[in-house]
Amino acid sequence: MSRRIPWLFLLVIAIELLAGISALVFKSAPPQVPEVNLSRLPDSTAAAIQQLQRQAETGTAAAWQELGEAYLAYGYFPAAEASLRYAVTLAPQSFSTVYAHAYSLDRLCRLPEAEAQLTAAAMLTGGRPEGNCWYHIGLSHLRREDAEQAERGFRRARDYPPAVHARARLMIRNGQSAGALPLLESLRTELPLDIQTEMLAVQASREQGELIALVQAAERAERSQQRLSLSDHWEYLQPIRNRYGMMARFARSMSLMSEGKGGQAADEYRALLDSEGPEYTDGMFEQGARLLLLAGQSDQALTILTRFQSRLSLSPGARHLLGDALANRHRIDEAIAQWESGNRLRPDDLVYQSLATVHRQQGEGGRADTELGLAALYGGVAAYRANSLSTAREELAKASRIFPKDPRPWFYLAEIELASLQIEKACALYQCCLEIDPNHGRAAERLSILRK
Amino acid sequence: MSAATSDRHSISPAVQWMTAGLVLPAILISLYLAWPGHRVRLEQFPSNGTSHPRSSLPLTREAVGEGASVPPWVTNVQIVDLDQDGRNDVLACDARFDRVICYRQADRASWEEFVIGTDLPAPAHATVADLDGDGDRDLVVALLGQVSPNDETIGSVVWLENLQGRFVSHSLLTDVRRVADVQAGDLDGDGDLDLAVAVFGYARGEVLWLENRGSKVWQPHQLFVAAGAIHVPLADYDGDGDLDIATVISQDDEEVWGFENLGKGKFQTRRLFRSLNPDLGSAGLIRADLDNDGDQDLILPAGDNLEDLYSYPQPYHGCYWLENQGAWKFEVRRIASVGGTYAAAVGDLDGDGDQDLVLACMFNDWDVAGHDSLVHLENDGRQNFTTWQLEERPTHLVTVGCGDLNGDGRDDIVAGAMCIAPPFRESKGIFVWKSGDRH
Repeated sequence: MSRRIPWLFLLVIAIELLAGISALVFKSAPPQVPEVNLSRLPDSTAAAIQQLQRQAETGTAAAWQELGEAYLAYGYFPAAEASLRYAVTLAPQSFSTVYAHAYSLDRLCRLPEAEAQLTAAAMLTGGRPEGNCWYHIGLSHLRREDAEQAERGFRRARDYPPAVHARARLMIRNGQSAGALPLLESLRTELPLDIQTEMLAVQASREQGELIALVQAAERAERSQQRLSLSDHWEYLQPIRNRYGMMARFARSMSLMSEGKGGQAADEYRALLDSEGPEYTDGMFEQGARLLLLAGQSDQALTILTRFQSRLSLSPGARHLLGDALANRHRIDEAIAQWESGNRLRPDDLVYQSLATVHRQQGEGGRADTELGLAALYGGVAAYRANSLSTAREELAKASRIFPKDPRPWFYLAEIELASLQIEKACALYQCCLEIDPNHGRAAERLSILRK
Repeated sequence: MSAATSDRHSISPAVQWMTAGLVLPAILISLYLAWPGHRVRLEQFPSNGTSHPRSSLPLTREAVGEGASVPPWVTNVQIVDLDQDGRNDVLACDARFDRVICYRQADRASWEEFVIGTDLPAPAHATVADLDGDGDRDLVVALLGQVSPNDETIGSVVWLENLQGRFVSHSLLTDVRRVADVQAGDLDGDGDLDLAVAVFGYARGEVLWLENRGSKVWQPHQLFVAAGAIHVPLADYDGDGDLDIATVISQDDEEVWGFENLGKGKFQTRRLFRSLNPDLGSAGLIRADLDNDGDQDLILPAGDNLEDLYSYPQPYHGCYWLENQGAWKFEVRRIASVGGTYAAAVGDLDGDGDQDLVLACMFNDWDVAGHDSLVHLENDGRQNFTTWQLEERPTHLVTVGCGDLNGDGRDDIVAGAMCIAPPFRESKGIFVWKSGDRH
């Protein structure tokens, strides 16, 4: 017995060693994190992504998904696809992981692979409606110029509005405008006064030669406020970008603002503008200045606007803000100059009201009245475009009294009547407009079509 | 060795089983846990960016104008002789500083900057035309109002009237959405210049023509309602002796339309090309007689991916030639595959008598070195085009033009950069490539 035990012992040891070494040799580890060139990002964003790279070393599906999504949102598409492909192997039943992987394949134009993953995602569903996946499958087929398969995808998306819109568009393109009308009507019911729907209705009317329907759809499009999103790149990717670095600070500031914490929001925004590279913040300073003004920090707003003014040309909106900041500091003449300079480029009814107020305070009643008239004109047009027809009618009527020789109030008053289907009244007002300006092209065209 | 000695050296069974059952497994498990394992490298798809063999054209590159501390937003460049001194100049629209500039060639070696107009919000295109018929060259400028997407009525058309070298601004069209192009020509056959206007807008847009009623009065007429009209090249496309209008629609639909001039200000709308692919990225439309057969063809650069902040080249990006077959039939041929193509220009770059093309790329995969930013499509005389890379930098080129800058009879190139997305590497926005010694 004592002689047999060592042999058995050695055999057991040998088996254990073999198994152990095999386990070590074949031990699977998370793959290497795909490396990308982060130098094109703001430092704080690059640092946040480096943190995600380290986090992915832990090998969890969530960490890999987050890394992949960040790569996707910041334009590192091959690395995003690889990371998300790995995340899917770890979490094949996760809708968000599979969807993100499909999205990365779509951006790489790996269309059959993207369609397969979207189909898989549609089976899982989750945070997004199933229709979204089928809509994207339809779009993918359109990118391959395959109308038949695209139409099939859109049909499977059922009543998902972008897919209904896409089906209507395909029908119009195929010369079946009449068949598209019920789809357009269903969209109108679902999304009243939607720009995309009305623009498509313009196309359908053009194809059918229905000029009055075309005019009515174009007029409705002018008053439309909402816009059906046909591409969700921004909606999908911007919230991801908002998680990291510079954009996270931006999002935090916006969030504070919406919570009514204007002072904190402005402080956060100002710190962002001070710390990030100007090439990244050139497009953000105007909003920052607006926040600071809302928070009552006129000096800070003035500092920021002046700083950016030395770098680039101020937009009309930024000039208006600069005028507000200067007025708050009682530098009225400079404020007037900025307001007028902004209004020359982009007239704004609220700025005209500010100008009227300061002219009135300076005892220039005539100028103040003129500014109020312009405020009524531009305010009326803005109200019309916002579909606030009664406000628009009131303001434009006021403008027409102050500027009886200006055709614009009459044209928009006519548009309001057209919107209200008061065709005779509309025609009379277009005629008024043309009597003042016989070369008013839009009034002449409207009248010509309506009179037919 | 005696049995007693052997027993003394043998390990007791308890120790043996302790070793086999606990110690060795514990060591192995610890090793397993400590061992990081083999880290495989995830396979990645290759970049969609395009690169082509280097061109052997003898070109010398130089930057035009001073750099700025802000990434450039040059929206349009052209080679024209604005001051009619016999030397071509570079005319540029600068949306960063809201101005139109002429870079004059003081001599063949240096540039003189002349700011023609300021406070022109986001100029997209300036067209040279003698609008008032006084014999000098005026400018008509299409103003977006702002570069970033916006659907408000912030666009306009401005006439910069040339008064002996001083330019005075007159507003010709307001209360419209973002205007991307304006072209001048006699559209109603009354002998004066009218205008065709591409109102790009954003979700809403239109194509207009402005009838010149004399006395600086312009009457707008709507030709088409659609968002995303980029350019409105004028030419007698059907060879009937009057000017027609073409346009490319690039939002949601990807289509080229013609407006046949029927005379007396009437136009008939004709679809010339359409793609079902909503992501084609039509980026412009120019006219040229590419095959020298006497009619005007259309060239469509495609590669606009501005839907998201971070764009990526797609395999269908490049250049399409719409060959005019007569009677409003255009045969479409894809003549180049170049990622993120945003602009095209026609010129005889190699001096062999046929028309070549230059393509500029706003988006390629700039994360990877070697991708095209400017390419030459060499025409073999039978309209077979070979693509050659002229440059991989400067990047973000959105506009390109051809013309003879150095007076050697051969076309040179000018291009402009609009750096709206990183990498922000370029401080200068305008570059020329002159025929001559290779840089």
